[in-house]
Amino acid sequence: MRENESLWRLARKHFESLLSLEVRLAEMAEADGPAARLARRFDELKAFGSIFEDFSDDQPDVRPFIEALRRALDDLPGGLDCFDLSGADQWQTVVSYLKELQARVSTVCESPGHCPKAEVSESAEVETSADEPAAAGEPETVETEGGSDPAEAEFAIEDQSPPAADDPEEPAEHPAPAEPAEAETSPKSLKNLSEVLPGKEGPIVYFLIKLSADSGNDQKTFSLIKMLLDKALPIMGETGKHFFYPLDLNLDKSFSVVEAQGDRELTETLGLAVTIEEGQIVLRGTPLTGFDGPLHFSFARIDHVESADTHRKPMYIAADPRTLWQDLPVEDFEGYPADNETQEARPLPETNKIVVAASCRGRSHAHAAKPRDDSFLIDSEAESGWNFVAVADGAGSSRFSRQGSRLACETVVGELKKFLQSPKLADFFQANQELMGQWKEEFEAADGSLEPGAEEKYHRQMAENCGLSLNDLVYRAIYEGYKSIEQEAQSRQAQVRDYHTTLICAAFKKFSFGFFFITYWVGDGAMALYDWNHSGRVLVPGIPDGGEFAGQTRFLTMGREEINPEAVSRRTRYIFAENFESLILATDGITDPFFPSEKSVVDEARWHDFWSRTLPVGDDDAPPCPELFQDGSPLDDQALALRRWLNFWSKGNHDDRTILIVK
Amino acid sequence: MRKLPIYILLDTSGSMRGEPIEAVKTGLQSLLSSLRRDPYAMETVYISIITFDREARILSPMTELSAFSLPEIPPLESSPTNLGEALELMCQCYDREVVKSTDDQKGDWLPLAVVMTDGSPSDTMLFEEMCDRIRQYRFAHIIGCAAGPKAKSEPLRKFATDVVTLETMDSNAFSQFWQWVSLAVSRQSQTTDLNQEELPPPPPEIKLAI
Repeated sequence: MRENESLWRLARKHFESLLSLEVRLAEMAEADGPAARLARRFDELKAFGSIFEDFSDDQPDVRPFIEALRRALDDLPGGLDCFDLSGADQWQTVVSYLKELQARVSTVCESPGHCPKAEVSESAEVETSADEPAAAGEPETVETEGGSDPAEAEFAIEDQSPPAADDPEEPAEHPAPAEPAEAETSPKSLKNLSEVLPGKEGPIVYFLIKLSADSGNDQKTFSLIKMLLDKALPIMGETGKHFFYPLDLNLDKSFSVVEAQGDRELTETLGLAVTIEEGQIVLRGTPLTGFDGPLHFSFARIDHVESADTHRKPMYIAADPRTLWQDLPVEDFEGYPADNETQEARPLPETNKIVVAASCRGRSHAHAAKPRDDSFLIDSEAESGWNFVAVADGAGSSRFSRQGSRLACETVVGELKKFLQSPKLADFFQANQELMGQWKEEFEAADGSLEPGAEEKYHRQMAENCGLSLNDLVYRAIYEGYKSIEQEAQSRQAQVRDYHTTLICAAFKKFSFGFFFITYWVGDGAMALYDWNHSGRVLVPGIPDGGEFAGQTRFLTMGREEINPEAVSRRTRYIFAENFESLILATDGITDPFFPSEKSVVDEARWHDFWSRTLPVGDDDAPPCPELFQDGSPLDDQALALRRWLNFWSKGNHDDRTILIVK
Repeated sequence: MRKLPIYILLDTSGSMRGEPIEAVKTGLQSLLSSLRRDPYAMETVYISIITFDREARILSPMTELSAFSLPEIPPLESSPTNLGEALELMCQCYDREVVKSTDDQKGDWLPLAVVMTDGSPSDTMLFEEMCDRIRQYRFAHIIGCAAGPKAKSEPLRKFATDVVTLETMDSNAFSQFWQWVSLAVSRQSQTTDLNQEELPPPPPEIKLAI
């Protein structure tokens, strides 16, 4: 339900942009060029405004069209903001889906799946640019036989006049528009073949043949037709992609096809038009829904319709993979409830920065009615000036990993907060000011790439000065994090491995010399400091743990292996940054789609791509999240926008997704 | 994109002619339909079909599930059953097609193989050699199916991880078998860790040869 609504809102937003482009079209030269033809379509579009008012979840058969519309909108070249006429086909597709939506939503259906208004359609209009070859997959509006419904008349008018003016020079290049002209003039074509030919079960292609020679007999010809159908290429397509299938039954020349029609299931439900072009039966269109079953053929001689025959051929239209995935609520949380999705945004006091974060259940968990295993946490405290962010990814194969990831975030942040906010620590930084200064200088001189070992001397000196080192603090926080999970496991009579989780976290404060970060990272996912000191550099404080084989990673919960001072200090990094553009934390639900190999997580160029292209502008992998980059955009809007962005489709990547951004 | 390759080896020797091969075809079509409804399978499964009689040939090259369609199986003539050659061809395809894991990229999921025959292998020497060599190839499962009264399960046990017998070769038996295969493939395509999934329990028509 909710997804339908957000798609709807997106479609509406695009629709409104469409309308605003009308002005630009009008300015373009060429009275009769593609721009002018499209401009005429926009008059129709205005009337579609009512679709968005009428939206209601009860409307049947709406979802596939919304999906198709959204994808068609995504396909527009250059995006809506740079209107590009070379994408005239794609605009056509958008208009045809809007029409279909309008028909279905503003109608009261008399019987399920049989909306009276949807029977009515304008004739097919293919307004492509003049030099495009006709045979290439052209988007087509849904085509049916039948007259026009008076209520649709206001739209029908548009179709009658412009085509009449345009068609004379088009027939050679656009066979499809030629068809409607035939439909009006040839009485034979008006005959509804389904009334004279057999066929109970759809989808069906009806066709009539004419024998070339008098002596041809039905049996032989029909056998030939069946054999040709069997030998023809498989009929395969994909929902939402242009479909073009020519069926050449002419190889023998002993007969020719003179008439062909599709039944309602083929033309309306599936959205495929049947025509005859150069003697071939052609199926074309943009399939509206998936199909896996036989396509029936019902055929007879035009002068002897009584002796008809039938045959069938498998047809497969791949359903939109998105529709195969179910979104099921969790039935039993077993004492550890977790929201399927959440988002948060807040300002960080004393820093001029904000944090925006979002997390959602992956489609794998949604399909299996399992809970979200990712967690994130944001905490800050104005008085001490320290801020804390954390993301954690519970292992899919661990029963209670959602509690593991939650405890990891809460306990570790809680402990760090306790230490860093205590007055003792304020003294620590005061007392070690000079050392911090030297450390910062060395850090900057090394261009942000100090190895953990290089800082040893500072930690030692600070420990001498104040009796404790920052590494100790981090170790204690991580240790407590582990203990809290161990205790939880014991109280449940479960094992620690039932709570396996990764953890990526950072504590940071703005001092007089700039920001100081303390970071810790175990497991997959990633963390990156983008545009460190305006140098263009991206600092990645750690390396992801992938293990030898996919599916394996390191966890906070791996007992002594990870919970010892040496291991923890290896995963701890300290960063000095006078300024930075953003700090990004993410679980592997985000890194897998955008950072395909482990090496790419430490590749600065990939982060540049992610922050300066994928997120603000969008790319093949995901639509953009521009709200993150609009100054003054309200925090709640940004959080919701980031949450919506998590819905991007990525084949093969169905893990829980969590991303947290400080900017 | 990591794929889950499925190799299907079909006996097309003369004894399969008629109802048996038709039943196999129907079963394969239903396997396809089942997998097409499974979102995990649609994202990862790739299928290749190898037929064998007097020679082994690739009937369908390794193709993504969404683009896969069942090809025509040419008419069967009476001929020997060169299963060894089929196994050899499959291993050659494996070398070419299955992506192994390296530092830079994650490899494919462990492939599944299904071998269906109604008799015994005729090319015994090559067959024995292949039973040895195939151990070096990593598969999640190699399912051997001995179909019909003349089929023997012992040869299959030499290389398959799981062997089933179908006593009859009618459409019901085959349909049960391929449904079971589709369940096994589905499970495998959902596996997130390296451990192989246990095969699901087979339906009553199919006997697991112990």
